[in-house]
Amino acid sequence: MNKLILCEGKTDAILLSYYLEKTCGWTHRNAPKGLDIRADETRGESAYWYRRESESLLICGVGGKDNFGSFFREKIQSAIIDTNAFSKVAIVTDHDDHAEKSIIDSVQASLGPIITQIENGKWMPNSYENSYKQESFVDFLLVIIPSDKEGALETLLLEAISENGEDEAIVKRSISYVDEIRPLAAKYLSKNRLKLKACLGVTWAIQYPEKLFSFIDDQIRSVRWEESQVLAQCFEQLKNI
Amino acid sequence: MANHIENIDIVHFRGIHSLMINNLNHINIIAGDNNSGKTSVLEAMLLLRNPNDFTNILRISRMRDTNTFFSGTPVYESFINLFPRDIDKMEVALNAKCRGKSIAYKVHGEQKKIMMDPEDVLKKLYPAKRNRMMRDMDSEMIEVDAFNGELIYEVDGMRDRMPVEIDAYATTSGREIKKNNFINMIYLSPTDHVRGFVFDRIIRNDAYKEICLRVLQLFDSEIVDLVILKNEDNSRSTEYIKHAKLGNMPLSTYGDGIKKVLSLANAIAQAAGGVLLIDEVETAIHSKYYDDIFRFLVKASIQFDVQVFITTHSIEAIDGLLATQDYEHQDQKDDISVLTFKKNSNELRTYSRVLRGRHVYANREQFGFEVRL
Repeated sequence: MNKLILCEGKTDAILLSYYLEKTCGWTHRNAPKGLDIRADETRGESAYWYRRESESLLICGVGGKDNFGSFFREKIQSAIIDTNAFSKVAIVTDHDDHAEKSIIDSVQASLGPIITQIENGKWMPNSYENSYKQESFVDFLLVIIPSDKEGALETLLLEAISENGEDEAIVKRSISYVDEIRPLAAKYLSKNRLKLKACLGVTWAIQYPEKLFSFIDDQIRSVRWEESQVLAQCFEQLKNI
Repeated sequence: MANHIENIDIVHFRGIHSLMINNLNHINIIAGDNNSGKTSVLEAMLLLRNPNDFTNILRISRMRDTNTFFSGTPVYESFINLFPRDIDKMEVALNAKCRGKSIAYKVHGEQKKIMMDPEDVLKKLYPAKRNRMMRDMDSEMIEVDAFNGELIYEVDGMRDRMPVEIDAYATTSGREIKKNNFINMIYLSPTDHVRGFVFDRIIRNDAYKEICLRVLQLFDSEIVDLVILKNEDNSRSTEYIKHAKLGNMPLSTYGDGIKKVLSLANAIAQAAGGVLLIDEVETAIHSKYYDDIFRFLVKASIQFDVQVFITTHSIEAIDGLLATQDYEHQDQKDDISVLTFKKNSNELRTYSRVLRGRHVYANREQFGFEVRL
């Protein structure tokens, strides 16, 4: 059967594909026939397929946290209703500074009426009526990053990097540096989301200066995320996809 | 836009149970895998052609055996095969809404043994079989399988019922065919185009003939006319294609593609004001001609007020039919629907999916939708 993960952007999609390949054995494949979901890269979307034995997994970056609804409606919903395309669907989204309930409400609004039963970090059975007017079933998982506090994917990555004692110091100093320079760089770092990205960027620039001009794909793949306890905990349920 | 049959509910027919198909359109593409029930749905629709005529259902039962008419399955067996095997009663039934009227059709009954006079049996047999039977016959009366039941036909609550009986030696020849068709309905099999007599209706209408000639000129630009000439030796009528360079050439010398186009065009004219059922439309047509031929098919069906049901295995044919509409620019008007069926033997039910052409087109563009599944 086919599984689907929707995440905010390309960076999340790359990290997830790397992590699930290393920890669960999902490897890249071409789109299966009749389910070649097309992403619009000019809108920051991505769609890549992975295989594990007879199962297939599609990981999509939807082009930003505000685009889950439109991406789902335009590119996924018909595939689910008309072809029962996916037996499991997960959304990975940043916590940012929102309350958990507001995130759940927003996901529900984006994925309804197919997905109505949602809990953070727990696979929930959902049912919908397909275009044959039959009841069909899909399991749904919401992964909020970080699960229990404000932040985003970058928070998680910085915590994962900090698991190494030497690197922890680099992370701390990078955060201090960004805090210190923020008043001078207000036009670049006006939001907490951007500040977090800057913290990760500074940390990476110090850890891997030779990768500074590499694509994000290279940068992410240069870290052994699969060894991180922080990521293991966060993606524990996602690995069951 | 022709929409003579608005919906149909096939209660029991061959392997189909409880199949409801709503919101039928002007052009209805029935897509699906082999053995998904596409042809059975067309056959079930033919019950509406002449619902109060028992000969109609017998003719429908024989349609799959026409290629082996003299050596194939007996009429009785073909008829019995119309009844589902997975229920404990013998019943063929459907309901439909046609031109605003509610139609209910049912044939039900039971199989039993009857005693027949050998003389009556012998009259129904072909000579070779008759001689063999005369040799083997050693009793005064012989025991024969038979179906005994009734045909019930209802229009807007007005019910008509008639007893029906058919025995194992029955034939269709000599049976009366009632002319008062409820709805003009033409069925075009995947092989009808090779039988000849594929343009008698076309040549009755000069304007239509001109349109058909333009379609034929896709295949050969020097085709100029269609004529039926009488052979002086045997006084049989033969169909000829008039060619600018070759003169009158018998239709039989042309390829299947041309015959198929002519047979489609002829069937549209025959089905004027009614319904055309085309089984496996893609047979004999190269996919490079789909766009032109299907555009002609859709246009001619509108001109002749013909609602069309088309079965196909071919995704190229489905794309070709969808391409007859300009979904990028036209308003919400949509003359095409795509129908797919899914059998659930546990529930004794067949599910239908009826999608508008525009929706299928968008899905094909978006994710290469495999609409046949």
